[in-house]
Amino acid sequence: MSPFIHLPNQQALNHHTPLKTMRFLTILITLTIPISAQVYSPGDGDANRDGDANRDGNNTANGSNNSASTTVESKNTSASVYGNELPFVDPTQETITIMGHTFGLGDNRLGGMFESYLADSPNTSEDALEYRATIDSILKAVSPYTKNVSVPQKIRDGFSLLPRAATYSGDGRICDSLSNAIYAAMLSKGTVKNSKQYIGDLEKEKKRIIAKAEWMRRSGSTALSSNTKLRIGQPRNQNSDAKQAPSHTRSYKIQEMERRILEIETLKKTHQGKSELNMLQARIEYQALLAQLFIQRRFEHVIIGTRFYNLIFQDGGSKMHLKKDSDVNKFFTEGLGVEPTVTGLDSAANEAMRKAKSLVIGFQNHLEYNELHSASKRLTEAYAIGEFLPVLQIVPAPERRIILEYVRSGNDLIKAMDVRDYTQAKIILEALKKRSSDFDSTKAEGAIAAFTRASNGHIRSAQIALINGDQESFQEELKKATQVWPTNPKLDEIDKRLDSLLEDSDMAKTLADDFDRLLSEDNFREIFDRRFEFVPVVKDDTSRKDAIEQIVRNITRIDGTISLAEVSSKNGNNFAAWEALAELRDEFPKDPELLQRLEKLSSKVADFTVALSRAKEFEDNDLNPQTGSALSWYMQAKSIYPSSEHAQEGIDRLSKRIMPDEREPAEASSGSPFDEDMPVK
Amino acid sequence: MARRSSSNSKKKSQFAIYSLAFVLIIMALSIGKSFLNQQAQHFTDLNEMSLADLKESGTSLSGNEYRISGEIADRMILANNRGLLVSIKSETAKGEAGLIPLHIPPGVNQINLERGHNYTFKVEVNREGLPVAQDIKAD
Repeated sequence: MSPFIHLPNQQALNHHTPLKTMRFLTILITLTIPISAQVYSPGDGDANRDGDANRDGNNTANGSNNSASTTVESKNTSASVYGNELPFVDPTQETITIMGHTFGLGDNRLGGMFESYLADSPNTSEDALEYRATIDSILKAVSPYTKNVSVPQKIRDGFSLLPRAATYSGDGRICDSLSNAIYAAMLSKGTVKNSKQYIGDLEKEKKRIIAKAEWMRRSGSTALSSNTKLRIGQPRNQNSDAKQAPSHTRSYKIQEMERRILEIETLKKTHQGKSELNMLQARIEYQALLAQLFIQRRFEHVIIGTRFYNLIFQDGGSKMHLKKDSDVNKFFTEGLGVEPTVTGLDSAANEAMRKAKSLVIGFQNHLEYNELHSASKRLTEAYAIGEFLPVLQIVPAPERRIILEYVRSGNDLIKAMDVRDYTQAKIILEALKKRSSDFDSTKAEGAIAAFTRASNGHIRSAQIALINGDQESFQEELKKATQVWPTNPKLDEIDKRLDSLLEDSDMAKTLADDFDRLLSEDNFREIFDRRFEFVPVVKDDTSRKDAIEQIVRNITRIDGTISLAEVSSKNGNNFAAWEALAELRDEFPKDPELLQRLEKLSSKVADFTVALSRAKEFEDNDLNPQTGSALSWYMQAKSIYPSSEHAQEGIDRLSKRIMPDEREPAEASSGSPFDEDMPVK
Repeated sequence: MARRSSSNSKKKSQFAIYSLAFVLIIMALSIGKSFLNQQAQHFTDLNEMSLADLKESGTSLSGNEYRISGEIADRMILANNRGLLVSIKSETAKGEAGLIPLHIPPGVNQINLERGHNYTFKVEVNREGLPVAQDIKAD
């Protein structure tokens, strides 16, 4: 059979509409993701990580990675601007949407692999170039368009290059696996060929026996009776008359020939069945390998495999033998709605390669216009389709680096939003907006604004509760504010305020103790000097408050008098200065400042102070009243300082003690003895 | 020459007469002054009050009568008809100078008492050591 026998089928497949092909491709990728465990990253159950922020109808798909059938958890029914047919990557959501199905990218699956790819250097080593050249040579060798080469020669040419391709590390020994499958298929095919030859030999032997039997019947051999002519070559039922013939009418020779013919027929059927079974087994194994390569996104190997398949199995049987209701079978039947074929695989692989190339070109165009968001989407899509394709492997390092930094910033933004660090999220968001001309920040900005406002509102309520002394509400509001935005800077302000209150409480106790101690020591000066510390502390304590008010009032008065005394002293009137201070001495005998000033002035007005002192001494002698002596001293003091108020007051006091008649004091003082006396000028 | 000698003796006798007259005049003036002084001194029968004693312990003089002479430095009328309280700037014969308080009860003051004028008082020291005027003479 010609190796081109499958071309009509392939052309028929290509007649499917582009939409169907696209659907097939995307479903193919969908199935590929979970199986390869590289592209699809099942969520880690963090659907609730951001509460309302991420519930916008385009939810991240979360779920298990147990089987391919459970990878899709949600279906986005809303139409995207790109259409649901194209994969869509949203770094702020950390999802990929394919055919309306949304998948979480996760950190350790596609996200990590993609970042690793971006950080890697382009694969342009000599080995890689040689490998790609070898793959191209294999594809060319087994291509149906290669003319003037026999099928066995094509197989030999392509097969001989497979080991060379397998030596390259990036091939992952897939070419070796392919070689083994081809070899096994060829062995099966060889076995079948030998079996057919044996069957042919049996057929020849059977025909020879029949011919001999016929000859014996016609020649009337003694071995045959006349009425026992067997219609050799006829079905046994047509020879029923022969069977019904009496056994003694047949010769032994004829009976032996009949038995042999039956044996040969049985052997022939047996070998025919074995041959067909071997061929089917070989197909199944080969097709399984192709399906596996396809879901591994080794599209070049798929194409090589399908071309070898068409050369090896030239009987036109390209229908794939997949287990009914299996995920792989569903993947093909649901994608295309037809029975899967090897030719279909070939077509899908070619389409995937073309699509990846198209996406990379789109990525480079976006990059040229600094549209990093779209560029990263395109490259991610291309990577998700076929990371091993040469078009992705040779993307230059500087271009990868740009996308890597952008994707990292996107991931940082996701993490910042995830841990509700909206301050950091806002910084990253602004940086992303500056970096990429097409970055859509509305969703993230909306979320940040909503949560920051909510947190600030709770903090405000907490502050009001704190002012009102409502501790329960304060704690509740503070808890809510922390839950919404744990790193809200205003929380630090609350903390500082609380710390300050606690410190103030300790300090207040210390200050109150200090105040009491100083008061007990009559150290009013110290209290006065620290009045600004004490006043806020004792403001709620009536007794302490009155005490400090009185102290401040008196010290202010003393200091005012001292100031006036200094002025008098500077003007040469030390008597007036001394008198001003001495007037306060009786009232504040322990004020150190007052006593110090008085002592300093006393040396300058010694005669005056001595006269007053002696006068006072005599005046206060109640046991032996010395009005005369006291008056004489007061008068002497007044003669020294005629304006002396002290002396005049002393004289006035003593004058009230003078009775009109010394001999009858009671009668003489008929009026009030304390009436004002009048000096006569 | 004789004339010259008679003239000299005459001059000598005249000088003696003049000298004697001068001496007599001086003596007459001294006696007159002494007489006049004796005539101006009041209450001479009383001792002059000791300022030092008054200042140190007025009550030690209580009950005694003394004479105080001096200038009125200040005065004040005591309420309720209790008389006057004056301060006398006095200088004793012993050379003690100072102000002496003096109570002049009502009825004693029969003459005008003015500050800056000199008076002599007959006083009795009361039980609180304060001199109380008994009589007053203007100097």
